[in-house]
Amino acid sequence: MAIKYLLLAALLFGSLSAKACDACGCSLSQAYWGLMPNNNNHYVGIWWQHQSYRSFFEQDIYPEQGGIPEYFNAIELRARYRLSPFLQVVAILPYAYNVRREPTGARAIEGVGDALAMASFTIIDNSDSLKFAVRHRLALGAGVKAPTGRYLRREPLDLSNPNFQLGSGSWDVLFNLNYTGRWRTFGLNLDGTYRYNNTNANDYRFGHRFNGAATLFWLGSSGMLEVMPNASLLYEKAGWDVEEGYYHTNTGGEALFGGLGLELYWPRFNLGASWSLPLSQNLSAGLLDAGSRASVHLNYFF
Amino acid sequence: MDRRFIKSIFKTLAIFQALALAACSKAADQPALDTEAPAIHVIAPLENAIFPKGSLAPITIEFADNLGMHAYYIYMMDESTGQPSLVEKKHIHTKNWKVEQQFLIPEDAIGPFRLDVEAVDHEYNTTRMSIPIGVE
Repeated sequence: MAIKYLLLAALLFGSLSAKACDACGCSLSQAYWGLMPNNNNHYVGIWWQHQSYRSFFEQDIYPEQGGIPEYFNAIELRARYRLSPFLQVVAILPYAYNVRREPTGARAIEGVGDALAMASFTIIDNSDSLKFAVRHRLALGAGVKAPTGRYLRREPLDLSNPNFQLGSGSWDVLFNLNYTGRWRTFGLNLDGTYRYNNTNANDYRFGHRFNGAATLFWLGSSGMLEVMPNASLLYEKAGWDVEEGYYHTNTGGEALFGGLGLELYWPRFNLGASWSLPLSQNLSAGLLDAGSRASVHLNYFF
Repeated sequence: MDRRFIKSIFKTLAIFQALALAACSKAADQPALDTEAPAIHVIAPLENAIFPKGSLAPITIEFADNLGMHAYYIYMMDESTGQPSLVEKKHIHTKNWKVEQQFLIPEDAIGPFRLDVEAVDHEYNTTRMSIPIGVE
């Protein structure tokens, strides 16, 4: 039973690093799925995500201010439903709380963010077979992001970071490719997601985005408890935003993060945490500095 | 091939097709770079207007930009000393903005003065304008 559980644990849905951000992010950037076992089960879970930035959009006007710290937090309700052995649907509903620490005081916005749903189809899967030393799983996904989060057109004296929003105000489309390979107790997950953004009612379109992740993991066990430490490289790139037919060249950009994580599994439950730091970045033409990111989640399988 | 597998393929292809259509954009919708600088219209003071020492010189300026401003700066330069005085600077997002301010001409001013105005948009397209004024 433990061996079968370990094998199932290897069937990872993978990390879907689809903001906000962003850059980008921020509130409109990533929805990290994390490493997920029990591919044959449905699940519901609650996730907390935290991102930190420092913005310099007004540095030329108020050089004495220095960079403005910005923090993006989200509590997410996540769920997966398995329609068939080859097809499953996952959904995320976030609640965001974003804070900007200006010299005159903290400024916050909070509320429901943009909901996301994705269907994933398994193309190749020999992970159940004991014939192969290396087991593979390849899945193709497609989804939508709904404008359930509030998008506010900037007021005349408002701040510059266009990603300091709860939602994009538009219906956006996502495409995902996910691969997991496993040899004995070691595995590699590769994940790539492209998000095509549409224009919202205020004639603003956030730049199209690509997120990729490569994660190495190891599976161990102690009684009923399975442990999976992992290390990741996360890459994200966003195009320029467009407003009324013109590019905003101080948006978009790219960044590479390195991360560490730990997943714990016991019957029907999974507890996980991860932390990442930027290794290199060029966001919003240098006007935005990404800081550390953290995530904690608890999932229940049924 | 398993019937459920085939059904799943068709379901996924249908989803992809719908999403691909939603993602379509016409070639004519290609965005452009904004190269148009903001416009500055100085309503007051008038060019070469004369103000008594110790009086308040009115400053009324209208800004306009095709997409929206990023910032403006208004200085009054004392040409006799080369010393600028900041009247107002502001970070702003709007296509149209009007400033109404006043500048106190010092009692011991020799003059002349020069009103320097600069407007910048988010693509750093910049417009500068200077209005000379005198002192009596």
